[in-house]
Amino acid sequence: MTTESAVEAAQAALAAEHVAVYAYGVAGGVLDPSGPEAVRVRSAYEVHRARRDGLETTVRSASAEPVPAEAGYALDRPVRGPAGAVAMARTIEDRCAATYAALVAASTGALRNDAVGWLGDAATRGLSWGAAPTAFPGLAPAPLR
Amino acid sequence: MPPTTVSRRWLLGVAAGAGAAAATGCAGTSAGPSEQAPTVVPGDLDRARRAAADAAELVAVVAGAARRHPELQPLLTGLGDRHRTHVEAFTPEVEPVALPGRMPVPRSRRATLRLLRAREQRAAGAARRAAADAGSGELAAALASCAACLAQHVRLLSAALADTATGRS
Repeated sequence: MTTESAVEAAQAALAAEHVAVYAYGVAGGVLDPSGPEAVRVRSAYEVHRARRDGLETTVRSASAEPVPAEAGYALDRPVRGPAGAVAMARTIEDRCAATYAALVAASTGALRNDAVGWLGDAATRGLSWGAAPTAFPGLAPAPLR
Repeated sequence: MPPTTVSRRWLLGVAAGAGAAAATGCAGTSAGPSEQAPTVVPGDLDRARRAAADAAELVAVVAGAARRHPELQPLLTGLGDRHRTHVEAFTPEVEPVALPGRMPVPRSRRATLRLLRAREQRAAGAARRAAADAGSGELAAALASCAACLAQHVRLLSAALADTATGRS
């Protein structure tokens, strides 16, 4: 992973992971710790934290400075209960999927392989949060010109 | 970074070659609209053909399952629609992929769901491998996304199987 576009895509994915870690942390705070959603939120939190750490290593290995996490993020809407937490989780996975698809396009080798797997995971995790299945998760239809 | 995009016309452009792409006025899109026509990377046309053929086979087997088990249509309609979208996306314009004829489908609903799940898993694996090997980043993203969709199908079919095991459907 040495191209400028691959580093840029990895940085975008890393930024999305920072948001995901923050958002899943917020979600965990509004859920019953013993409930099934809380278990899934903790699992998702760990997954995204591991990816964040991995992407930081990837960016550093390309002699770039990883994009830092912000102190906090403005979420789309207040997360006040389980329904809000689940809706936010859907959004997070959808946005991460878009950055993974971009990373697949920009990278090669092991990093692309990782991104391919992450895209599948985001799609199925989003589904588990109630997202509708789509023909091309993470991709937007291109305008015809 | 703008979202990665996919369009049938882009893939058609890849399949038909840069000249045809220029003639139809479409362009590669991974980093936003570009005036440059896509170029064909060796092996990518075969990867797109294979993805289209796999999707066409899935269209046929899902249609057969829906005919034999009409009660599964609420689930299978969406699967079939998405497979048709994949066929359309990956089919080279110059050589349309023929849909296979009727596919054999088990009488048992559970066996049918297991068959569908196995076919989806197999196609997802093939799409993931093709994504890893693709020369074009745009095609790689489209194949990886297709694989992600098929992984969603596997999840949906597993849930349907669990429902049949517990008598919920």
